[in-house]
Amino acid sequence: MTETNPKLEREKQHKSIRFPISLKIIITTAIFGVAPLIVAMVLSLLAQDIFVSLMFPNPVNFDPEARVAAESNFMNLLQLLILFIFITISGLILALYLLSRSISEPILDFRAAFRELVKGKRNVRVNLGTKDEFEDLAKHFNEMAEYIDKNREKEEKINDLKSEFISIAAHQLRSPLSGIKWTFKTLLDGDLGVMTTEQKESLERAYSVNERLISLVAELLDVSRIEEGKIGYNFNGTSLERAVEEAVEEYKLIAQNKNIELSFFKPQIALPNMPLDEERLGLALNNLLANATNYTLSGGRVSVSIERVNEEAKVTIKDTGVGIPKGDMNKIFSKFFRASNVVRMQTPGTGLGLFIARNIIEKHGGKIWVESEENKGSSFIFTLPINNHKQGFVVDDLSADDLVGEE
Amino acid sequence: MDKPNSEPVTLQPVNDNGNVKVLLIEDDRFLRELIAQKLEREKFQVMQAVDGEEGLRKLGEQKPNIVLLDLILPGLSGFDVLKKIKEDSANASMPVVILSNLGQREDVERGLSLGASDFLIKAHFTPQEIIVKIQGILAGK
Repeated sequence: MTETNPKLEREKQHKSIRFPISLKIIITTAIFGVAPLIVAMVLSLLAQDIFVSLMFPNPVNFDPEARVAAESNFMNLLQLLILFIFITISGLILALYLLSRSISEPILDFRAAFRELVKGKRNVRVNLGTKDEFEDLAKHFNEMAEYIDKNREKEEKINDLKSEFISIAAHQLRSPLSGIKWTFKTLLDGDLGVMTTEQKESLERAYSVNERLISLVAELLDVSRIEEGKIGYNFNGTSLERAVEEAVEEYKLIAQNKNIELSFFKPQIALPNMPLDEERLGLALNNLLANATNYTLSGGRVSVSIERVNEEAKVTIKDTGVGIPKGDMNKIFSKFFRASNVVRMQTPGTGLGLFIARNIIEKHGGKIWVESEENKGSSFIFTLPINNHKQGFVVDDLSADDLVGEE
Repeated sequence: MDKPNSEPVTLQPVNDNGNVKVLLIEDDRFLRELIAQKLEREKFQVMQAVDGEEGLRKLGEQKPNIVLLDLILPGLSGFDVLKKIKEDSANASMPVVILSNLGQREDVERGLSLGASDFLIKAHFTPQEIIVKIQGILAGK
């Protein structure tokens, strides 16, 4: 074990010119605090003679002149003492101030740097020339920041590629899908001759499968946009009640056809207009209602209600459907995830609806969660702040929440 | 999502379609022909263009009543074509309907801000529905 480690050597050298915080405390206190104290003490010792002669004046050599001199000496001494006590105290205060500043300043630097880093800013570095533990900490912080920068870059590149791929693929998919759709429709409309009922029925099935593909493409595009962080939100004062009612209205017929009772309960006191992106919120509501009606069996109930809870509006979409198995609950809002029971039902679905809905609600500053019991039903509940700070057009940037929140 | 009808739908104001000239700017031959076929069946006069340059030329020569415009085209993009149509005072009032498979919000907003009358995502509309849109725009004009 006699080998010398060059790195250790360097560290030793580095350490030799270091000023650890403890040393700084001692030196600063010594210079600004203890030194004036010692001076004051020495001076007061020197003054002791005068003091003693003042306290015990020689009665033999007593004469009024000497008495006056002694008295003025006493006053001088008193002034000196007060001055030195003052200097000592100020010195100590200065020492404490310098010390606390030398400790708090780097901490504040670190705090600022951490804030920037969490915000997702690049190239955040802390540069300290303090030659103490803080400088070491800064070095490690910078290493960490560099590591995070690299990872973020990589992650963004992968995300960009993935989103670009999905966008291009989706767009390329849409053209042939339109061709198929239009051809089927032309045939179904009888434009190319009358078909038998059987031919028509099978073509209708093909048409509806094609429609499913088209909506899958639309959802994939939405998801890739969400992940690119490019979704622009347009928050305008909107009536939440009306938006929800309209969405419910759209599902009235579907529910009726499935023999599901669909009801809507308005809040007792009307809510004020709220800053909402009506189109996106409509998409979220649509996805939630589609699930509720899809996974509720004939004879079941779906109820939608809005209530005000303090400064939030709370929307509940409750169904008496198949529910979510316990083990799937925490994954239900994940991308492409579908609960095992509904996969087994062989119902169509992409597993993107709730992922999209969650994103939209969260971008409104709200929260969404689910309460469910398998075979009994599910309640999807979301809240939206009544006074959203967001107004007008907001481009959703890939915020720190997104980076930290996932994975 | 619309359910396929079992009966061919007849359009109400069929009579005056014959006077309507539709310019179709679409590079995908299959799609172009499908729409043209449907338009002709509904007695519209259809002009077809494969790209923006041809579209602008035909627009100048034949003065259509309405333009159906794709966005992703070889050469001039659909947005460029739209800009050129709207810049020219001779056709600035001519309704242009974007018929594209783009359709993200920025695309839609850009199209509408450039003066398009409507933005239709191909895959989300049947030929019939596209015709209804055209008739609506022409009637509202």
